Amino acid sequence: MTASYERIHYGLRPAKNVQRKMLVESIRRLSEFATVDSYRYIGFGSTYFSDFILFHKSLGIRNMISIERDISNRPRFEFNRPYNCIRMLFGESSEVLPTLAWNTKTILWLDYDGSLESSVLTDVKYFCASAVPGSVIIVTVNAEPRALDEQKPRLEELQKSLGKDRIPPDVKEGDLPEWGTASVFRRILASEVFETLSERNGGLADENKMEYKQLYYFCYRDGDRMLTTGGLVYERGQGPVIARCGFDRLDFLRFSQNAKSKPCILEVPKLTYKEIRHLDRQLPRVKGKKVTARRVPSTDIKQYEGIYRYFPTFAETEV
Amino acid sequence: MPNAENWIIDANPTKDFFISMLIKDIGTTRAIIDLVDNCVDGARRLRTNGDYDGLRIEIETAKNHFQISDNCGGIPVDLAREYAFRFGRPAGMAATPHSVGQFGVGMKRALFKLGKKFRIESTTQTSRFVVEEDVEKWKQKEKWEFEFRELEPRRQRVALSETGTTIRVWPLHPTIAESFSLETFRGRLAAELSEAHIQSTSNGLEIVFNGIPLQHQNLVLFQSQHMKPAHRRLVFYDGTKRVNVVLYAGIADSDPSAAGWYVFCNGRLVLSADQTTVTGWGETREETVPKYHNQFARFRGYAFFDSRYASLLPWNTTKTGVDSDSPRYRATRLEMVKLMRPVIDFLNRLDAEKDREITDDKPLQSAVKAAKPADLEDIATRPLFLAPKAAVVKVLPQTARIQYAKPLEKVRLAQKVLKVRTLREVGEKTFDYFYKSECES
Repeated sequence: MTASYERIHYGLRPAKNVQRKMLVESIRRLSEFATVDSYRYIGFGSTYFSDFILFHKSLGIRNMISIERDISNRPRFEFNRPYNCIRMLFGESSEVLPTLAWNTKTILWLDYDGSLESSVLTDVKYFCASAVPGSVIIVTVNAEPRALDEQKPRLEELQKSLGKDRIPPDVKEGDLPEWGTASVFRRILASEVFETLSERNGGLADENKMEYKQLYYFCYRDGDRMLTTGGLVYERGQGPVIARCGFDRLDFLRFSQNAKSKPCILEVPKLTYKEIRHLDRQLPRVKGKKVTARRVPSTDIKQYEGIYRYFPTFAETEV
Repeated sequence: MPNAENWIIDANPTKDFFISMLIKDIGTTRAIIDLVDNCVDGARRLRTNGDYDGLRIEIETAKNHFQISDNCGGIPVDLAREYAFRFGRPAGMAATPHSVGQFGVGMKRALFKLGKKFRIESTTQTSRFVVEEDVEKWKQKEKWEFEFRELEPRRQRVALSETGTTIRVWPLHPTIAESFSLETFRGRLAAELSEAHIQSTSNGLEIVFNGIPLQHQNLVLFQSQHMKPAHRRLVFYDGTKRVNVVLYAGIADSDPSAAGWYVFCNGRLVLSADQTTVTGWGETREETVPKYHNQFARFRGYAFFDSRYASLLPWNTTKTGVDSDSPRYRATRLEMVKLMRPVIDFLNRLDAEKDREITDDKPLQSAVKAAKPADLEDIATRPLFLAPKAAVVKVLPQTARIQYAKPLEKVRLAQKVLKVRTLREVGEKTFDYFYKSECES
């Protein structure tokens, strides 16, 4: 299988592009915990480093680590490293994460191409066992439902790959099509977080016990269905700090742990520049007034309204 | 109106039931080690500095009796009267700090388990007592009491060397007598005795079994300039009460039966070479830490829980395992998993290196060879296991297998022309023929 960076140009995945900018906007709000540029960012930069470029440019983060499993192409990754402050560490994330010092507030984006596997949960567990309060974990996995196969029901395959005890007991075969797999994956990832924190809390005094506040539950498809979920780990005593962050004012965030909670679905409508400019002049919308553009379907307009501040525009350029 | 006594329901345990319940839960070797625990607690009361030089515990398993004796200071009469014979530890009882005996059942359980009569004689510097009981007769008695047979609460001060406790049980229950007669049982008991109190024996306590002093092996991990075990300290508080945890993880000799985690509570080994989920190993190969298999035979982990307050430690009552629901144990287990993961990664790389065909360059194996066993006290704290990292080079297969079917008649003819016996040779020769004429020229 070719790695996704060889198949798609990262920058051209519009929904992912939107999501990345939304992440930045939410991370800015962490300034109640610590100045955002003092955070450490750990991600999988691949050859494009889109997230690193954005996080460095717009958040000022300098302590950056890119984990890369493809050791055989090491020189190529080194060559593409866009900034001096990015440290490249080669190996599987499950091997690299334990070798880092965990005394800094960290934003970890486990941005996988593949589906939810045990190794993903291993990384999540490691983060939750080690991260200092105020740290953020973001996990992206492919959540495309398995191809239908009567011999191999999706639920059974899922139980096989992750272990029966990890699948919530109420999940049925019929819950897995479309965005159902993403919804189940979100629950499994959240359970791993809660379980690990509960273990860790066994040794902590009440006010230091660790809590998890989910921030992200994005679903999007630039190709396959993808899920991004994650949130903030903090100490029980930091409740008021969280309140000051004002996460509730960002309407793309999703806090609910309810099994039936709805994701923020990122859909990027295809619009012309002229339409975009026309719509932008009416946004943000005045209460009671309708946003219109000639012949543009109203669903597209509604989608656009939700993401217009993050909307990607691509143009051909000679760099 | 019913009278008062009709409102009372009798829930008193019968002694018979109580004893049979009590002894079912524990194996014979473990019951005996429980008695050793009491001796060790004596040593701790006697020598608060932890130097046990000159102290000794002697254990004897004979045809029809069992005896354990020590010179560890004896049991004070008050302690015997108020606590040592009670079932369970009374609240408010002043406990031996960092004690091993914790639940107030060990001694009685062992006595009931082993035989029909017991005699306990204990001498401190200023007191002496003897308790002797026939268990069958005791069961018939209504009251939950034992009686001193001899009692000198205050006596002429004697030298420390004359103090100590001797417990004798006879006649043995038939199953116990049978076990004692088996060499394998005695071998197992000796092995368990020698490791159960490895910390105390390292500090000078001598354990003699049937006349032979038991040897103990020091706990070691391999160390060199390029290979250093992980060693962390954790502190937990329960209110103001402290539990210290010291963890080590690294590698040692390849030995599938010794690999795994060793968990100690106040110096007493409660889990030995554990390779189960209790100490963080997986149930499948794909988890955070994989299921144990023999390529991890070099793994060793040590977890020492220590507290003045023995009740805060995560051991079960038979001291044969940990209470995995204990919050402090759960938090520790998470750290154990974190410490062992890099060791497992290294052992996986070591294993991969072994499989490589190139024989001259095996840096990881050389690194293991270069490392020397180090005693745990000579290991510095460091949050992570350090080992040389060699890039995993994927060796591409140098050969490919070709498979195809052709009409039998043609194959037979080709075989005849080639003058070969097997079909495999037909395939190889025809390929060589083609290659020589079409590819090499």
